[in-house]
Amino acid sequence: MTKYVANSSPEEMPDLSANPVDREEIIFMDKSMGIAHHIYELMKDLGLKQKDLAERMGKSEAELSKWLNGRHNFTIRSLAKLEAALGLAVIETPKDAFYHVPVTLCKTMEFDPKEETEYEFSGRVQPAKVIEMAGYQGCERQTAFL
Amino acid sequence: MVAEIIEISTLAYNKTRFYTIKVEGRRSSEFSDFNHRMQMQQETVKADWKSLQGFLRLIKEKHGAQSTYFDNDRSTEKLPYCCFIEMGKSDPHGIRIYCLRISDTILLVLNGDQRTELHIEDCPNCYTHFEFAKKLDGIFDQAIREGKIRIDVETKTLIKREDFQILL
Repeated sequence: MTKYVANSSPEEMPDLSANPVDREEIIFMDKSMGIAHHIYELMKDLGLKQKDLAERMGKSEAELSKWLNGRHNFTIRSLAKLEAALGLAVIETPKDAFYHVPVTLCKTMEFDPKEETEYEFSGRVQPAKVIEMAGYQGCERQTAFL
Repeated sequence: MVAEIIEISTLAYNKTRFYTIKVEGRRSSEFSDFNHRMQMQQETVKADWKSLQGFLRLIKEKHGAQSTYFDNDRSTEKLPYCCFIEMGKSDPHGIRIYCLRISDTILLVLNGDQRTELHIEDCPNCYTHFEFAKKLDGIFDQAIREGKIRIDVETKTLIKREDFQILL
């Protein structure tokens, strides 16, 4: 077996980075692709096919497919529709994460309250930095996170 | 006609390796021809083409060639690898580029144009590119089934048997 090699005359090939795309456009597509992929992963976790989710949302499969192609401009309403159909959060605000983290921590970890410590969390909870543990007693008080 | 597969070296591997096809006797590869023609278009089409370039970069560098990012319609939905990306709304439709998505890490980017009709069979711009992609899809499907083309799982590259040629 032989490998297909890189083009011997690369100057013929377009260098995409040489054509700057509007930064806002890149951010938009990046977010849309990220959300679409996340929904796709949630569907896999739930054992749902695109057709099943479309049915739950009262939409056609073709329409849902357009939502998930990485170029769709999601609205809060469309995300709410997706979340309602999936029964899971698709995006979370920092406030959602704030309330999740302490509950996760108090069940699974022990802390040294004197140290400023970083903990990595799996799942949808973002990396969190513990900045203040004073007064932490089980889950009775909120702990501040960045 | 013989065609060769070439890796697009300016799109170095990150998440996905990009390949294209160069037909013997033609001045440029399919992807190069597409980009060259789109650069010459009016501003609205050019804007869609630039967005498409950004989209391809995000596939290459960050997200990978996940199936969800590629479109299908009745013309491509039954083909194993052939799909397309359609970008923007240049009057009356966006620009479309045909691809063969071999895996999340291997993508062949082919050719395309601005779509002018609802159904691809009626679009004078895109139909020839669709026919070309469809033909390649059949060739790739057979070659992959017969083990003439494989993916090297370690390097995530496309490899071929010495005697394999794409005959169009």
